[in-house]
Amino acid sequence: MSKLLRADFARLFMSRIFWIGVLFMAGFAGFIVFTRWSDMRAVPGYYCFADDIFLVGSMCIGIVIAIFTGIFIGEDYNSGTIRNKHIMGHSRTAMYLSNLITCSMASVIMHFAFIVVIIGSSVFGIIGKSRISVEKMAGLCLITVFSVLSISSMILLISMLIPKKSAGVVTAMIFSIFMIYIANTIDYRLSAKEYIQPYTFTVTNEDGTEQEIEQPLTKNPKYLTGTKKKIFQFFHDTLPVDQIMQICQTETCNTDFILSSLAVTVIATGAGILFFRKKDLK
Amino acid sequence: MDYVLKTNSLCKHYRNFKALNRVSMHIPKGAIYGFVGKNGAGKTTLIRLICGLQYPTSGDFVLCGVKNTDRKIAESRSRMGAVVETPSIYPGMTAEDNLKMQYRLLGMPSFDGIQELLKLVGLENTGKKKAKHFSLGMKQRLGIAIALCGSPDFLILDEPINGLDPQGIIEIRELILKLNRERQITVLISSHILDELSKLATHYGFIDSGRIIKEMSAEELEQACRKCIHMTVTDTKILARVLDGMEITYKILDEKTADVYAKPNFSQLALALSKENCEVVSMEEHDENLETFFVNLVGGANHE
Repeated sequence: MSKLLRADFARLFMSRIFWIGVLFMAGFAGFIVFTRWSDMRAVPGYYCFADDIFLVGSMCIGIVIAIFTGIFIGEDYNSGTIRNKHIMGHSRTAMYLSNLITCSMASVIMHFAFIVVIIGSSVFGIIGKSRISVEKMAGLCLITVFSVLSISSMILLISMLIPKKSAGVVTAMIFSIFMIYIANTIDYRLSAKEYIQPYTFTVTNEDGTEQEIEQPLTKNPKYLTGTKKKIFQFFHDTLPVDQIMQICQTETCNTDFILSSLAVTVIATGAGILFFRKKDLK
Repeated sequence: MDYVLKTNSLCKHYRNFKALNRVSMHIPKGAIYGFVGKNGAGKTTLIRLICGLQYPTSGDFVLCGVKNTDRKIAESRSRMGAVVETPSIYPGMTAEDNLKMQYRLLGMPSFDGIQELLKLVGLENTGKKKAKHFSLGMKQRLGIAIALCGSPDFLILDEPINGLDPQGIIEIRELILKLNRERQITVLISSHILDELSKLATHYGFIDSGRIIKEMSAEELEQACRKCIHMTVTDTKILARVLDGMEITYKILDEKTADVYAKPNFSQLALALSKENCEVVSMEEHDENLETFFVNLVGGANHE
């Protein structure tokens, strides 16, 4: 597999889409720093700290990974070079694992391109320094790295099983957008309060008079309980975008996330290898 | 005889469709094996099975002495180069970068030999031109150069001259002959451009509807396609005696028909036969080439 890795990494560093991805993430970070810096100048009392935004890029990294992986793997299929690797004697498992390692490394580099720009802006005083310790920041970064790896493994599964480049990219993108949607939906349902607080509102009658209506304390139908809540919580702790969302919101180092990310990576990779080994490479 | 590839009752089925039906073929070491068949006959399917891109439904094959079910088949495949359907090249890379990529995949310790390979296929002056800007012939030659990395013993070329202009066809033909003669590489070429194949092949395999109809050497084919006069007479024993007397080569087919491999003086022949009480019923010139041979073969097979 070392031969495959050597070739795949050489191709990665020659790949235009990889460098576009790195530049995009760095540029995105630069854009966020610029908007926060503008806000700091315009709004008195507002101050942006590095720890507020250094993981924001992880929320959208799935889409960037989807585009990169879809094109990188799709090129291998389109040009027929994936067949060539197999013809010269490389096993399908080795080919899959080599692609996993290459695409995962690329995803992590793109992830760090965002973080480095934010930290750099903080060091140069464009935004405020971090309020949390360096150790904690490193811990949070490490957890998100594992989340990024699990996103990468799921997107690789899609890209390796769809040989058409454009179809692979579109499917991977839809999947990553769907993951963001699921994360938001789960977060919204889990954060729903048990009761809706009493409130009053005013309505205007037909004769023009105004009437104040008082709404009493009511039970929230969106509030989750029992098994349903446990299922939602399980997915919230397991799905990578959900994990990143929680890390951004709470800034807590939950090491269980690493285990669940690893589990997702192993399952996605196992399934991918299983299907790829049976696939006809036309 | 040493065989680079032997297939044994190889089958590939797609639901009810039999793409390959008990195919047994034999490619001798050092041969240029012309694999002839119509579009959809099963040529590419067989090549895909040999390359491991698809799995056979049943049957097996032996590649460079290793059975396809053996774990060592991957090692065996590393002694093989192939261009299946389209050349496997990265369009965004130069010819040299494409070869470097192949060298990395093969685990070669250095990039020595790349310039030699580029020269061999006539792409030494392409410089920084990316493969996507190459002509079809150049892409095909680059594909062959990639397949030649690691000095394979066996080269598989699937329709290598499809879409090429006459000059491109000549270049590929000369390259294949050079590889076979100078490097002793066994070559399997699938094609339906028979005229071109006849200028290269030392052995032939004819496939139709997923079945190998016939395998033969170029000499056997030449013999079968040899120009002759197909004669029908009342007694071929007398004909044989007369032709022996005239020192003319012939082949007796049955009691009344024979092939005569020369153009004798027909008046003299008819007179000599007449003296022996043998009548000439009919005479027709028989002239086959690979194309007509294949058409007759496939037509014959279809009527079986």
